[in-house]
Amino acid sequence: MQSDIRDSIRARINSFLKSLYFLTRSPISTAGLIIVIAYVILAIVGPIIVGGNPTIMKQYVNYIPGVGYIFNNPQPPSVRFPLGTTFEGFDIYNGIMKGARLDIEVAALVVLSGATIGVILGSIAGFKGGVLGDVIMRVTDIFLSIPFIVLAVAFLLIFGRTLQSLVEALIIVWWPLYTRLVRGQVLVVRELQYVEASKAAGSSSFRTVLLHVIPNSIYPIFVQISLDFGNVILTIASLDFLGFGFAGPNLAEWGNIIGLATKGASGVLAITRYPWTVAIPGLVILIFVLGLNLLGDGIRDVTDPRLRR
Amino acid sequence: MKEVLIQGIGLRKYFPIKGGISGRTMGYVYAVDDVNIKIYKGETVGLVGESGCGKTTLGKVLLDLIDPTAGMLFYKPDESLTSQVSELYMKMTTNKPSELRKEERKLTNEAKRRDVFRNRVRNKDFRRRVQIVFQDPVSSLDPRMLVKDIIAEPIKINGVPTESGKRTKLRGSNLQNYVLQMIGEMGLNRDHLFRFPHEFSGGQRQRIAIARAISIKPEFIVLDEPTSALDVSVQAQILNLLKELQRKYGITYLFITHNLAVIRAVSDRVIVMYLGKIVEEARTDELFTSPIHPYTQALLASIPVPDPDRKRNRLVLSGDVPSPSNPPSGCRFHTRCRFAQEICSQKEPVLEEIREGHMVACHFSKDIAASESEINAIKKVESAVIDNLQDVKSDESTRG
Amino acid sequence: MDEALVVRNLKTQFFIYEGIVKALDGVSFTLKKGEIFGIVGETGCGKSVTAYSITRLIPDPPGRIVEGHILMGNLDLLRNLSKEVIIVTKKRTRIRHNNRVIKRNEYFFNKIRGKYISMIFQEPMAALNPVYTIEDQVSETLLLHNRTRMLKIIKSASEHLEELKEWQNSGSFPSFSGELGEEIEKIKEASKSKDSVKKHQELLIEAASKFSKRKEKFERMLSKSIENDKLEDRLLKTSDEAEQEAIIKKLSKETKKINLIKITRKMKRRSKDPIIIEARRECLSLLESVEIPNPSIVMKSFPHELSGGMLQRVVISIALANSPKILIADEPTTALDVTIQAQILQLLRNLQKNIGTSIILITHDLAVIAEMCDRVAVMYAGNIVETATTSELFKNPKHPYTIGLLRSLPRIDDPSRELKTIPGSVPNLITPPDGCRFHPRCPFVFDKCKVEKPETIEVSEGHTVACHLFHGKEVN
Repeated sequence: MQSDIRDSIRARINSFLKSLYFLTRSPISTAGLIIVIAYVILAIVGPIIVGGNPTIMKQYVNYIPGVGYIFNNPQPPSVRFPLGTTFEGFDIYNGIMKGARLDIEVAALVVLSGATIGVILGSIAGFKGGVLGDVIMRVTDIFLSIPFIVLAVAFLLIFGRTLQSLVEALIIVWWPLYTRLVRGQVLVVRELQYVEASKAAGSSSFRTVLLHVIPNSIYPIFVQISLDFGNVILTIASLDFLGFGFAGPNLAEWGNIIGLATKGASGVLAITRYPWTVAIPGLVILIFVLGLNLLGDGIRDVTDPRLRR
Repeated sequence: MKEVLIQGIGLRKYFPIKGGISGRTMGYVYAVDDVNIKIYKGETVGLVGESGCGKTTLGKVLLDLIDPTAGMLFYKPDESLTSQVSELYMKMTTNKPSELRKEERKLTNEAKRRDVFRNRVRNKDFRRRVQIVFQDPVSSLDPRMLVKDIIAEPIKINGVPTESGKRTKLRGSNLQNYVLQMIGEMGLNRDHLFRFPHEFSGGQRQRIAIARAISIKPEFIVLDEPTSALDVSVQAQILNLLKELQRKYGITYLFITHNLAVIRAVSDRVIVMYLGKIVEEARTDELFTSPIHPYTQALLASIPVPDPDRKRNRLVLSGDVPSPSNPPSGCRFHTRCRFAQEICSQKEPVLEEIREGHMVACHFSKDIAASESEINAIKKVESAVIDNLQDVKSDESTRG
Repeated sequence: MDEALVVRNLKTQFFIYEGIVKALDGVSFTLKKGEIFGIVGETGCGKSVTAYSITRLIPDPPGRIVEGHILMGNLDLLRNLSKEVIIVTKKRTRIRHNNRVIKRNEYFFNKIRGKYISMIFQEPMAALNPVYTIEDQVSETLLLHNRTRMLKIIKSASEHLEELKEWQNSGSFPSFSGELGEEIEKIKEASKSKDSVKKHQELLIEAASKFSKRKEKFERMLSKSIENDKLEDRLLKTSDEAEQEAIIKKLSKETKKINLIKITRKMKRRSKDPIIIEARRECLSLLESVEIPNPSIVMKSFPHELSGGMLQRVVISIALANSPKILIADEPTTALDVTIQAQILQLLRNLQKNIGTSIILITHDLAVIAEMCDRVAVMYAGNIVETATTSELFKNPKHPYTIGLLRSLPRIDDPSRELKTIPGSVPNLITPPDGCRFHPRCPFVFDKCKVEKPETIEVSEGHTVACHLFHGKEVN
């Protein structure tokens, strides 16, 4: 009946709203939520506001006949360039506005893929256990013992420095964490009586895992996802900063903007003489990651089963 | 003649204790050790014992929720077959799982085909006819599911038996109406269907759990301490509800609890377990007025009665319950039994019929029964205990 | 005065997101000296909250005692209650805490808890710290509250060292006066084996010799301790509030100091400190008094190595270690098997007779009440609805809730198998019913019940009810 479906949906929406209410009780997690929402809006409307090619930063060049193209030194923020320019004449404001989209898209892709793989492998390892479970966990351990930047760099060097391979590299680095998290939760949940009740009702293992175990095991995942968003963006920024950037220098990506500063001059010079080339994009990243972390904390508090809601 | 609905023969469940880095099996917890049980259609059997006696494990083995270490389970069996099988199992004296498996190979193919544990087809059919209600109302319902989905789940998997005997899987509005009807019988209404379990009280959650169990109109339900976590007045409501449902749908119950007062109020027959074995079995009134096995007597004597004039000396059983991984030799109760003699530590007693419908596993059951035939057993125990205590006290003072 | 504890108009509330839970709505009762007083009720009736309120263990936030008096002797444990918090708004959950007053009360209550009022809880496993041995945990309470007595014993022992050594050789019990004499008597009676007597001797002698080594220091400690004891006595006897205030201030300072010393002392396990040795010895006799077999082995064990019944005995021994005036037992046997339950309740009764503690026994099990208690109070939704002696309550229940409760009990001596129920369910304490909180479920309800909360009335001697059906003299 129509009304039944409507009522079910209404019940679930109410449940979600209640969680949201609790989230906003704490001013810190509310701040996190606001920051994240702001950045998501930025990602959507940023490129539209500044216009032009959404993936390439605006560049200001001077043509001097007989010499060629030269770029001005980085300019501090002014009316014409609201956030100043950086090495090779790129407009920082332009880059920031367009950069949100790429970073968020990549982070979302990496984190969600990693989480999906993690949930699948973690559920198998946790629920069935046995030899297969052990194998999965040992593989996970191996991956976790390699520092992720090293792994990412290795991957990029082998498979080329493209955006595609960057995403793949990051997914490979990230899935083990989720596997371990999910497996831990599954180990707890599978002992609970409603799982046993489901089995008593004749449900197959697959069905039980899908409908009962997984929905109750993914709470820690939500927290980790929000934290990892930030971590992925930081990793991309770090890779760029270290010089392992991908695509051309004109790619509108926050880490890339910082990378230009280190390429254009030695790091110290950039920071002392042209601080805004590093500080501004750095601040933008920092605030976003901070917001994500605060939100993650807030989610953790809300989903903590010990706090009676 | 009453029809046997479910019969378990030679049921054993040993949980391996793994130890050390290698994870080898160091020993076993003998949770259920050679239990033969018959449950007749339409009755309520009370299964009682203290914690660690194996009653919950036995309940789950009877539903094949736990794989048994040995034994067979039959649904509506015929007597010739079961007596054959019983004989075979009576000859098995080992308690090592590997040897049990070897012995079980001697079973006839006929028996194996009828056995619910071994025959997949029968197993599937059997599971549709049985259900369970758990003790803890908090963890037995999935907190992420709406109540209506919780109740509908068994129906979606198994379908509901219809008049003709077939099963239909209800869908859509048929399903909704059916669930609504079920919940109405529990005293809840439509609004409750669209809520989550944590929004309900303990008593209401148990009603939901019962609705879930009843939904596929099973013939047999195992109730594992269904009211132990509830208040007294709520307990009374739930027990009355269960009786009502039994009357209406002709369900057979196995009621597991440690609360003897509840057992008296609901059961037709009572089975008493101790450390994995059945020690006594009788009709309810018979058990409460003339218990024979010393453990049953002690158990009854140690239950407090809400009557301040009956201030009895309850201290009848000393010491702690032995560990089920290292049960005492011979009769498992001999370490705490006031009648224990040498034979009790050497030979295990067999369950014998002492009076009609009254089985006891004790070497001295006939003697005890004869001396107590007219007297209220409980009073006797009390005075015996006082004598005992005085003996013990005088013993003590003579020691250093 | 033959009252151990008087509770008057106790109101405790919990300030949570959904609103204010009015858990206790003016609870009043009296605990007489030497009696076992039962509080019975179902989940949510407030019996545990009452217990926690008396010992001030209500978690704050979200809970708060908002009103009431708890009198132990002449001392109101809730003096200064109004100074502790300011409830800013009535509807929402804004409270401002006066931390200085609260802290001082905390120190003061640390002295009360364990020494004058003890508590035992439902889950014995959860009440003991899994990383400390039984010995450590039992000694803890002795070291906190029983220094005077222990020091006196050690001092005596050091003065009679020769006789103790003689005892060790010959085996015949010496007799002394004072605390040491009492201890020797106890050992004579309780010790079940020669080994344990030997252990007692060893430890006494060891403590005594350590005492003699640094005599002045311990003598000073002893006199300080005696002084504190005198102050505490004065505190309970005087009714002058200013004096009470002054003594409390002094005692709080003392408590602060002792905590720090105690912690560092405990760190040295093989301590040369005679008090710790004596504490261990007393632990041994305490374990013997609760009938634990092989106490010397159990002493060195960890909680996870013992069964539930044994653990509960340990918990009881800790609670009674300092011979408190009042013991609050919150469902002490609910988590135990019925045969073990019988043993534990028997133990409590015996100990109570020996020590003379007054016990408040909280349970939902009416059968336990019938067996153990002298007087009973029935609670429902934050109110005491009926109080009477046990036999009177069972024979002549007056309040409709009590009657309903008694009727819904399954009994092993009753073959009828009919269970009568009380319709409806326990009310939400955020929005409790107006008037009498039981009125929505009461078969005898009439108009007055819906608007006016009934006063507590005495219907016969010692038997009080809070119900409009009855007339009589109002109590408190």
